[in-house]
Amino acid sequence: MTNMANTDIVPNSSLSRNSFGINNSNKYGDKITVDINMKYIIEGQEGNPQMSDAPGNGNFSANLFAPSINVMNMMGEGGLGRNADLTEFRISDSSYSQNPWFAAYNFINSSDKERFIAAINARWDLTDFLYVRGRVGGDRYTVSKQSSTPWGTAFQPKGSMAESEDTYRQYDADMFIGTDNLQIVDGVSLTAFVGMGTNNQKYEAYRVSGSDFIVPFLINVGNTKNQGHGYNIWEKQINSAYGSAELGFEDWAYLTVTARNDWFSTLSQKDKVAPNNDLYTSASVSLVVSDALDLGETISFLKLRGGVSQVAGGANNPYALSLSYGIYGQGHLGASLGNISGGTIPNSEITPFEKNETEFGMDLRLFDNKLSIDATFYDNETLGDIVGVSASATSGYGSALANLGNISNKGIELLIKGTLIQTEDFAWNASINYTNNTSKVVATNDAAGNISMDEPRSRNLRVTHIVGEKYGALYGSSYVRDASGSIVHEMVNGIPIPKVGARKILGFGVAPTQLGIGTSFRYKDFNGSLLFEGKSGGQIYSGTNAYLKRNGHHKITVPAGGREAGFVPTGVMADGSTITASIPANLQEDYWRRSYLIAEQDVVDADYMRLRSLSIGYNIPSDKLEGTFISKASISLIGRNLFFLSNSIDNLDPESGYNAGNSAGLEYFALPVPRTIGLNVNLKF
Amino acid sequence: MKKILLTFFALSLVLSSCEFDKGFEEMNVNPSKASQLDVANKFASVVLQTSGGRYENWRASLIYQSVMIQHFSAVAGYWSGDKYYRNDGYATSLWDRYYPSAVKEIEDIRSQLTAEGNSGSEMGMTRILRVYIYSRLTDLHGDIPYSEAGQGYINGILKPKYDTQESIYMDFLKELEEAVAQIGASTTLGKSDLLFQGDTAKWKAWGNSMMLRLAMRLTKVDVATAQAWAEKAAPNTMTSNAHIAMIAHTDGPEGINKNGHGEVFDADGNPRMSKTFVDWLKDDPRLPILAARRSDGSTAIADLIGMPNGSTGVTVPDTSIYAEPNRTVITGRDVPMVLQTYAEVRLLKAEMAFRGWSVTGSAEAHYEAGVKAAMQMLSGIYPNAAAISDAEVATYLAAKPYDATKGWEMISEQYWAATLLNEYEAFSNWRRTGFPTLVPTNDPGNVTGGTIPRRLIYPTGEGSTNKANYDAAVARQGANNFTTRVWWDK
Repeated sequence: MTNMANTDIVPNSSLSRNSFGINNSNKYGDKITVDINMKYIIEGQEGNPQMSDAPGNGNFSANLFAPSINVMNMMGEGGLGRNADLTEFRISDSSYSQNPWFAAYNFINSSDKERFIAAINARWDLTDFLYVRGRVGGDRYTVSKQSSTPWGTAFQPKGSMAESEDTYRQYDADMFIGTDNLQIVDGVSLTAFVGMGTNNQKYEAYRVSGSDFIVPFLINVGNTKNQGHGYNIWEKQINSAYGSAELGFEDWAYLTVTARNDWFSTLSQKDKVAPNNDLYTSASVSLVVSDALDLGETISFLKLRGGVSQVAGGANNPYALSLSYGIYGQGHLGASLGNISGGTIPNSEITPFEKNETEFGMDLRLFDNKLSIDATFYDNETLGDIVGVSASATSGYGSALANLGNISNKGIELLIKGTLIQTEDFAWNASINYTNNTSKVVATNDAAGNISMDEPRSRNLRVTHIVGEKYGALYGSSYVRDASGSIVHEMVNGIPIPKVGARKILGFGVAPTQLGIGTSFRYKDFNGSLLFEGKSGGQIYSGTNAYLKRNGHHKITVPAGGREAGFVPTGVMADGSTITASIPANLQEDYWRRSYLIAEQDVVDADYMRLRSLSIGYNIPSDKLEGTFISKASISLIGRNLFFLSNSIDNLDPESGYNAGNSAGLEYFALPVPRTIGLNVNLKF
Repeated sequence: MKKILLTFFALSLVLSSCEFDKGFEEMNVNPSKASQLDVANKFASVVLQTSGGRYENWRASLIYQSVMIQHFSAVAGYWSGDKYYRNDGYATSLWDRYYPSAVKEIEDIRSQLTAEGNSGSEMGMTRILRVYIYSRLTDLHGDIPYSEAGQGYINGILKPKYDTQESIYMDFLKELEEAVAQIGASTTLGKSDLLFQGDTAKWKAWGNSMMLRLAMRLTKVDVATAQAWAEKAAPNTMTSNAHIAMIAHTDGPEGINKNGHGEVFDADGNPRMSKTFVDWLKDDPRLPILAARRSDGSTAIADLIGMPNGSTGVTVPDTSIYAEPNRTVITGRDVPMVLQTYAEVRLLKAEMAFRGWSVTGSAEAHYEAGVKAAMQMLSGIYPNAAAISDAEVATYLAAKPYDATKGWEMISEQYWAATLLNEYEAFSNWRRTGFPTLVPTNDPGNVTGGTIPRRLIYPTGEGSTNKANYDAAVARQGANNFTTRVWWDK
């Protein structure tokens, strides 16, 4: 049983979790073994911060105040950001400039989650060399959410609320027959199985909402003037048949071959021609060289491995193969309302995607296992990935489902671990973890070449996959530069403004290189550890800095000597002359508002190295616990994300980008990764 | 060894005889959705999508057009149209919302009706509404995707080409003529016809009225075509305020039911009546219906002062002394959204007569009828509006009689006043006629060189999602900015 309680860096925001688990293993006779695991988890969250835009996001408005304004003056007469009549204490003429206290303490955004996980695993040894194994597992959770924009909110004076219940369940079942370590002939062993399995997922959600509270502060949908409701359901399943055989020679050479066929419900439709299933195979060899040959004292272990493999996958979303229609809302003046559901163009002939990979690896341990090097080189290509290819909005849709092109990835993963000192009282270990990946968009299947993904609020840039380039280019508006690289300006309303140039590649959102350096020590009953982590080679479009500049909150907008001293932009005019004209204080806002259109200035390297964690601990020696009811006790102090050794971005945590996956490299007023300091007490009875 | 091989062989046989995707075809059909709907349900939806949501009514209609055209004014910096600022997301909001909703749905309906072999009233009504939807888009932006738009599913067109506005307008006029001709005496749409409740005669009148509106749009660029189509349309247009094309709204239960402008006024207290407009409405019985003082809601004439466009927090420290759109009358979430009025039709006919074109009735008679309709329609559109009597109209006309020497100006100014809260039409007609004569604001942040914008910009994202077609349109029409003129405005 565990309990966890966490208070966030945003006021009035918290998370708690309780979990209960049971594991049970039984033997029936000497041939049947049954294991049962069950887990029950209850989780509650309050005041989940709202992300990415002004309404309800106190972090957004707090970032846009003039630095001379004290947030503590925004509490209001009624306290917690309210007036005496409990409406929002407004901090600006714009109803969308949210009072951050009001956002934190009056908005409701909470959720409760109950989760039940259970699995039964049974094995029956049919003979001394053959077994049958069956597994059934279930995972079910229900999330109940409540959110409310309170009565008295400036941008929605009568308030609104929503409640929802989402139930997700998944079950897995499989059965296979196999043999372990069967000696076929002298020196050759076989481990093999064939089987079949299924994975089924189902989701169902109900939602009710209301706006305009009748009785203020009574949070109940029945207490709202306008009510709505929603329902959503989906189900999908994958069935599989598979087999694997591993031949071992003299315990140092292994050959493994596998074959698997998956059928995808998400790719099934009546009268569909393209296949809804895929057969994929793999073969790999591993050699424990240190067992086969005498490599001397220095090398304690050496294993080499290599293989080729295929993996296939289906569409993630069900119902994407045909167009469907829905009735929405509650009708209008006696008429029912219906239209096309969804904004993605369906594709009835989608096929499974495939990923082909070649991999070589080495596991080398030296000096009595004190130094180990684990290295992997891989080269893979993903063919026909199933994605929504962006369409012009004028087609009526945002994207079209397609099997998309060919994206290749090559890279290296390296883990070096060393025991530097090992004595009875003192031990010191260190490790380095390095990965480097090079991606390339080989083909897109799309006539015009580029595949457009997400764009930021400023709409001057788009994450784009461009053939021949790395994955996820940040493709946006640039400066116009002269032959010597100076930024070309034009006179607009009497002040020099940088010219907006063509869209081009300004960076790539996915960092190719990651590095982690860790070390730990133990001295008698004290121990400690340190972990540095960093990334390099990627870029980010900083929506925060773009907006701060546009609104004059970025320090770059204050020239030396203050705004009153005038501001001379660095660059040249179209005729090549260096700019000398100084922009007076009252027109500097105009300069920044206009140059906001240029994405290039806000695409910056997202390189960093941070102290991810630091811990210091003490184990209370067992002799001191003798006579108490405690058998073991330890205490440790743990700090996470304490500081940056280096960070190439102004004003931001480089890890706060809001898009992962297909649109990495965008950021907009997200919360930084929190710095946490914790005390951990561990007692065993 | 043999036994093992046999076992695996037998098992493989068992596996291969299984049907591994049994039930998958049924599972992958969404149980909560339909594979097709009756056109009636779709038609009601597309009418509400045409009226639009809060999003684009806030941004394209009010934040840009209503203040550019000096119906309203605003101090808040994000009311970009007051001072001709550039805000891409606001300027492209109609485009961003219409194409994935109204355009997509009207093309879906047209395709379904074609497949069902419908060539009667329902098809005619659909074609008229379709022309209306695209006319808003092309008037605002110029060359737009039209012949290939909204067909991502129907024809697999992900990157529609941009048609020239000239070809779009010629197709509009042809479409309206054919649509009116195929509308019969009745329709199966009934209550789903949220515009005219199944009254096909009103649809025919609206089709012809749209033909008149769009024909008159061409007076600058192709006067002969304008005259030919206007004369074709004029005999069969709307004949009274009972023919007004408007969409009734209710205050909920959901956003789709509400008037999008009304939702804006609910959330945004910034708009004030423009000084230009209030000054023009001097001695006009409409003034206390349309305007009220912000601070206390007073509609006493002496309390109704317009706020100058271009005002800032420095020039106007207290905006509450000025008049705002009257919150007890015209800003409701349950008032209708007006697409075209009888008053507009009479004023366009006044202009036809002024130009000496063939139309029944004199310019003066049409002018007076237009003014009367514009005044008396208010109590029909807005339930809380006081009715303006015939006597009040007569008094007004006596003080402002039609003067042929400045007839076009007088007609166009009345048109401007009659299209309050139909800002798309107000902006288009001002661009075409140049009346009323508006003094531009000249804020340092303006992007138009201190002139009133002539169009709203395209989404620059089209430059990546639909690059070749977008580039061709910009090359043909001119730079994608606020001062490039659309074809009929050249």
